[in-house]
Amino acid sequence: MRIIALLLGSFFLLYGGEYELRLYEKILPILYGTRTLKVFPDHTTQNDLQKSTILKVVPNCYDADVLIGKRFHNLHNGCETKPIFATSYKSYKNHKTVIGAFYWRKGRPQISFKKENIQKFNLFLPDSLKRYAQ
Amino acid sequence: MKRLGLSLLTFFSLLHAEDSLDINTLLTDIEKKSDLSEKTKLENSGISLVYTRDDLDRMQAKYLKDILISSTTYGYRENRYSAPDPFNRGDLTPFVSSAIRIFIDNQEILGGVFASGLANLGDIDISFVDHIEIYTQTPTYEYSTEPTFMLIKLYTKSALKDEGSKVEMSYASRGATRITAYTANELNNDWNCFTYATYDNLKREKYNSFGTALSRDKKRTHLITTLNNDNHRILFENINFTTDAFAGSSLDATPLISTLNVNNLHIGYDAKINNFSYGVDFDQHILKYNFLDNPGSYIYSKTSTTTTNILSADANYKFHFLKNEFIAGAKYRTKRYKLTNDTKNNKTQPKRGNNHQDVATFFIQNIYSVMKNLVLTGGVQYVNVKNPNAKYNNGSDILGYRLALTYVTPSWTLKTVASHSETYLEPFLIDSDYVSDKDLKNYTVDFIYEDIIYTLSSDKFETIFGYLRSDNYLLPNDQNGGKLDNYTKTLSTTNALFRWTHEYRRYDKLFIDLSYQDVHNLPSLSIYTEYKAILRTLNTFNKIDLFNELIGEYDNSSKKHSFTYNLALKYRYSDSLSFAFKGENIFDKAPENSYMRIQFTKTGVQNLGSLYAPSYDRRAIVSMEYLF
Repeated sequence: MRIIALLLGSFFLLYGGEYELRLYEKILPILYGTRTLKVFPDHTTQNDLQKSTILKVVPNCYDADVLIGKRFHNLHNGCETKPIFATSYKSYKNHKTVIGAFYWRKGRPQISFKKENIQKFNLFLPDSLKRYAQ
Repeated sequence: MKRLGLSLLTFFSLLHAEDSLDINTLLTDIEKKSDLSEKTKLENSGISLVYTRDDLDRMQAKYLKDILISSTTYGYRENRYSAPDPFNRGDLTPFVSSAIRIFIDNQEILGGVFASGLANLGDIDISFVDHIEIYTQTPTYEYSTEPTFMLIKLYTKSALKDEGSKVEMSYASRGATRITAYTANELNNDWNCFTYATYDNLKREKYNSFGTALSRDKKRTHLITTLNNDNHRILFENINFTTDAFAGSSLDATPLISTLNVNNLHIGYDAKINNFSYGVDFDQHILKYNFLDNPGSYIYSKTSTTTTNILSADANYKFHFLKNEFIAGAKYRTKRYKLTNDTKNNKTQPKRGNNHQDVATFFIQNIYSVMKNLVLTGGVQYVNVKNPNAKYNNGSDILGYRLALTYVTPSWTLKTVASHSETYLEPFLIDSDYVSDKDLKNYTVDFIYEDIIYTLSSDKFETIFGYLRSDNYLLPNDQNGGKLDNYTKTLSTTNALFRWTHEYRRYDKLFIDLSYQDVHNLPSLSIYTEYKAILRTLNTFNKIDLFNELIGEYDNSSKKHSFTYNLALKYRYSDSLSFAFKGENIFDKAPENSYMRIQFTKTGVQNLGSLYAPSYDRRAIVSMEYLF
């Protein structure tokens, strides 16, 4: 049944979630200076991230380089200090360890980076992304 | 050392990759192609037409009728009371398109005694809509509590994409004004809230009928609030409008006063928890009609207030067993209506006993995976209708069924859909002056469609062939004073459609739709044929969106060629501010609907010749939208 669903949704190759995945795959390895990354999703990003060949989903947040999602309320011990790449404006504003975010506001997709946390986690923000930093 | 070298190599190669990292292009791709309809479209669902958010935005589709004019062979037509009613042919029946159902998200918006909400919502402002799905026939029994010929699903925007607020103001020909606003917020505990309000002062073209200027001007307010999380949704909707009701009940189309006031309220809740989904809706519809014609006319005055309260409840359970996905469901709908201030020619009309209708529906549907890419869908629906206080047509049992076979490869989709359905009388027709004084049979509709879709990376070709037949269809019977009666012949329709969507550059799209339809055995014409061709382009040049649409139509009844040409231009001054211009029906050659004009004389009925008027006016609109 899932195959039928995927095939029916394949017109023009990609749809929303896959474009967003492509964005994460482009940005995050550059920030970390590595080709592959271990990521921990929440339930809103899990399905898309599992399709990635660059971002490897790990079952335990403690093993992850970065958490991607918008709902990380009950993290295990040690995970609360992990960097988060947020997927909503609200989580971008509320989480203390947010390094950046992709979210929709006013009907348009936006990206933002938190300069302070980028420095704190020793990440690299290239010139072309600096204009999205706050 | 070797590892350090590899790391440095990786780092510098990534830096090089970053040079080609065009985030703006990727964000624009996400904006243009991120399409929520991929998540909501009903799989294996029969014949569908989807308008994505990007389509609607670039087409500057401000009203639902902007979409309906090109979405079906029936197009968009308004009846003689100025209500959206695509199946009408200009006679006195207040509404004949009850089988076109309209949903906001997963909840059906009803239209009181007319059953379908299309009469109220067919021409609404759609700036609250993310995307639209239009299904031919019943896509699945999950949604069709009552007989459905076409299903229109409007999906509201949400905080998921539209967190923030928007205000749009527009000014159009003849001094029409419109202001619309919405705000979307993510609340605590994962709930989203979306609130939308609009005020429309529609000024329409007036048409002269024997010296009387017939008006369709309308003043309307519309309010929608949705509260939802992943599993639950609450929808509140209220529409209130007062409209000049065009020719109304005037037989010769010369009313002195003809006004309609409608207030429709919908409050609904639906939820999906694991395999179980359920919903409860309440709809209240108040319709006031005030009509005055020249003294001496057969009907020279008429007033009525119809209040309808409808309660609906449904529950569906879905489960998987081997290669099967079963859905079983039950729905119950009870409609209570009362007619007050009911006068005709200044005389209070006798009270009708008919004042409520109950509809109970049970269905079972199975989707069976014959192979990985071949699915067989079968469903049976039983409907029990009761009109306990009606003199005629006080109830019936209806059995409907549908069968679909879907075969999909990465390039091809082949769908065969067949179904049988029956349609019973809507409350406003029962024991009314519009139908014969006898028990009428339910009319049946049997159809079979073949849908063939071929997709390439930037092209989609679709061909649809269909055959439909209807027995006992309700048509005006001239031998019975023009009252609706079961038609003794079988009506049959064949149609064919070819549709091509081509993305010829990253953000440029071409859409071509060619269709043919014929209807056999109509009373007035042995074979009615209709041709329609649509050419639509969507282009984006930097900050400018351009939309062109040409719709050509011909039928052998009116023997008239009609062309509807629409053009829209939008300039995005900044991320928050844009200005737009739209010209609708620019050449003023849109298809005209014919409105019957007769008068009673001592010798009988005299035909005065029909009045012809398009339902889609020529007009220009300038607008400004601001997001904050």
